[in-house]
Amino acid sequence: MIKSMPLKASPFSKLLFSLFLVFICSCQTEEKTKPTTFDRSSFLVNIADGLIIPAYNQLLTEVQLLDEKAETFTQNPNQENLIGLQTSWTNAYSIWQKANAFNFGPAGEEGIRKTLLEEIAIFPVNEQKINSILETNTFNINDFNRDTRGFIAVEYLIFDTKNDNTRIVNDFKTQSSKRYLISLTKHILEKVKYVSDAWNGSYKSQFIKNNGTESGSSTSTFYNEFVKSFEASKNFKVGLPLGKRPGQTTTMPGLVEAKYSGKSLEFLKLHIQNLHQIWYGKPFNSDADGIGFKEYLENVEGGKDLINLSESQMMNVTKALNEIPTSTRFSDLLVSDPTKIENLHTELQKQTRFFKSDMSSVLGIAITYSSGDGD
Amino acid sequence: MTIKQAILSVAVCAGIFSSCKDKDKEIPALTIPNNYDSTSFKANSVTQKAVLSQLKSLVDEVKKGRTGNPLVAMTLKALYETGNPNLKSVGTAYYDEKLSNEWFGEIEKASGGTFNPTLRTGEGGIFGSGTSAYLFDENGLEIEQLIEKGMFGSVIYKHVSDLLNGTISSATVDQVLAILGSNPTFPNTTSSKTSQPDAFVAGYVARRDKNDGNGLYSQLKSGLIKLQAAVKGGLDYNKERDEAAASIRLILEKANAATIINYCHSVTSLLSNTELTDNQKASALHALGESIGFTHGYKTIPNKKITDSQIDEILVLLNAPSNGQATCYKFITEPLEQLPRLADVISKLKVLYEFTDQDIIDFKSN
Repeated sequence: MIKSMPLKASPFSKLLFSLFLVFICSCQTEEKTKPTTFDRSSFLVNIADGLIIPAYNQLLTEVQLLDEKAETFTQNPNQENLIGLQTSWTNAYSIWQKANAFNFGPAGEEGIRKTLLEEIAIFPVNEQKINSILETNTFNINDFNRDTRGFIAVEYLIFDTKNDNTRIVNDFKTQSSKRYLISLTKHILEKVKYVSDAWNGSYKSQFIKNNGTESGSSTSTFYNEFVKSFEASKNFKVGLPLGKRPGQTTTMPGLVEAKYSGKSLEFLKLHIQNLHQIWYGKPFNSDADGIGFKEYLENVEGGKDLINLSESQMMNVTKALNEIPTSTRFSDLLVSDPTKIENLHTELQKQTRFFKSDMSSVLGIAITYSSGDGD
Repeated sequence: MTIKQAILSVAVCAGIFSSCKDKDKEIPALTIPNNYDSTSFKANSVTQKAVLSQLKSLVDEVKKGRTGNPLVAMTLKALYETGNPNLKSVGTAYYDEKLSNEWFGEIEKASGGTFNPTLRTGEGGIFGSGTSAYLFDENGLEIEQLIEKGMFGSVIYKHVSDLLNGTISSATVDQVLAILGSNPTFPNTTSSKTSQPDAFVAGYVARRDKNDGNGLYSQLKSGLIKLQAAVKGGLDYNKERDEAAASIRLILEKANAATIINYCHSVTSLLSNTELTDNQKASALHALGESIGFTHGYKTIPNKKITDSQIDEILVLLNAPSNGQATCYKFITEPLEQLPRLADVISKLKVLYEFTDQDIIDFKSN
């Protein structure tokens, strides 16, 4: 017990007292930061109810509208109906950016069915194969030529890189274009409906019940798909077109996502923003706080430091994204002035360790997939 | 009754009552230790290790075909028949006939050539490059797998079955453990970072195990420890001995089936991709060959759960019928039409071995 110090204490005594106060304070601090058990069940409930199911429900609504607009356009191909279809496509693909990180469970690979992402959102598409289909009016919507289907195949049919809607309306006088477009939108609808129905059915309870952290658990699967989605945004939406992937020596603007509509940057922003939403556990289309990876990190040793680093870097990424000019197509910017895009890539690279190696280590959740990209 | 007769009667009754009391004497429950007794394992397993060594020698020779080296049927046959006992004498007569009169000759013909699943000229050859280069016959069948993985069934499982069907001594239990390619440390891994990793059949049992203490490898370990304990315990524990022996047989069959399922998943995943390289196609045919080898090797082994008819059904679905021409290349040329056959294989094995939906998902992993 410390005796009361005299008013005129010696320097040495003051130092001792100071050191003692520091000791007491640090002890109290340690007690405040002692790890507590994180409620993973509540976390999974928030992820399912707040993020995943609303995203897939909204996506289903949008692809249903897309299919209707496709029907309207093919029955009466004109500029007005084309614009309606283009708008609907943009809306649907925007919502896809908020669902593409949930590429597991009913959206996962099963037998010859690939993941939802591979089934409806492969890019780039194979223009040669699509043109051949349009010429011959022959195709099998269920074969393995997924680079002739999905959102980007629809985009290829209904957008023009020079915004020539007249040309598109003209193209849709042919029976093959109409038939193919309808097949594509119905295919997307079927795939999305399957996933949405499953999440609204029995899969949700299965997801919540599997609340361990071992490989195959819901938390492990959800985390791994989150990281994969982040890497996809960095590597395939930015790195590959920028020519930054192993073996590349030049930019490849033709590999950007959504090059026909010219909305590559818009969708990239939505994708990355959604990853940040997931990290915070914020519900779909809401800024309210929820239980996400942030809360998980708050409850483990070393988590708080990682939170600070992650948040800081997410802000850097957002800043870099917002600095990219929007007046020029992303694919054109890669050729004319890629500086800002390179800056974005650098910031995304810096983010990788916080989302991947550090978070995996701090949370004790193994990375179970192979990215094969040297990260 | 005389005194003598009375004494005799009492003696007889006493004897009867005494034996009744012996019958009523309770046999204590079998004490099963946590670990396997490895005391005599090294001495007891010499023969089995020699057989596995010979299998390795044969497979090493066959693998030379992957790099374009010509294979000679007589050389393969000689390796197959080297040793006492040798692979031929330990394995099934059925598989011996297939190897000796068909497959050694077929792989010789295929060696040194090149194979294209679409064109299919000649007698087969190499398809794929680098670490994805494999030797196929003219129908896309990888005979190396019929030889190696087939003998996991026709030689290794057959030997386990023979050992467990005979008089089981402590030495027998060591021999079962040894022929599986495992050891008393039960490593449950094939990783070279372990000093004595599992190999051969045990290696594949380990690959099907999630290491959560409940999987097939853990069950195999428990079965062998129980068998050892029951044998040591003596005649009073024959029931436990027979239970353990039966469970070991079934676990090995299930692990074999799980491995076939794993390879079916692998083929399906590879061949349902949008764009395929030759190496991916070669890898898919290789995985298919593995599933065929693991299936075919079990044929004619007695006292197994899967029947020979069921094995034949599965081989047909794998496009490698036991008594007809293989058409494995069709998985490459007509994947959309052919891949559902692999789903059928998985379904049949799932029902037969009562695997759960989660098991089928878990068997995707190595």
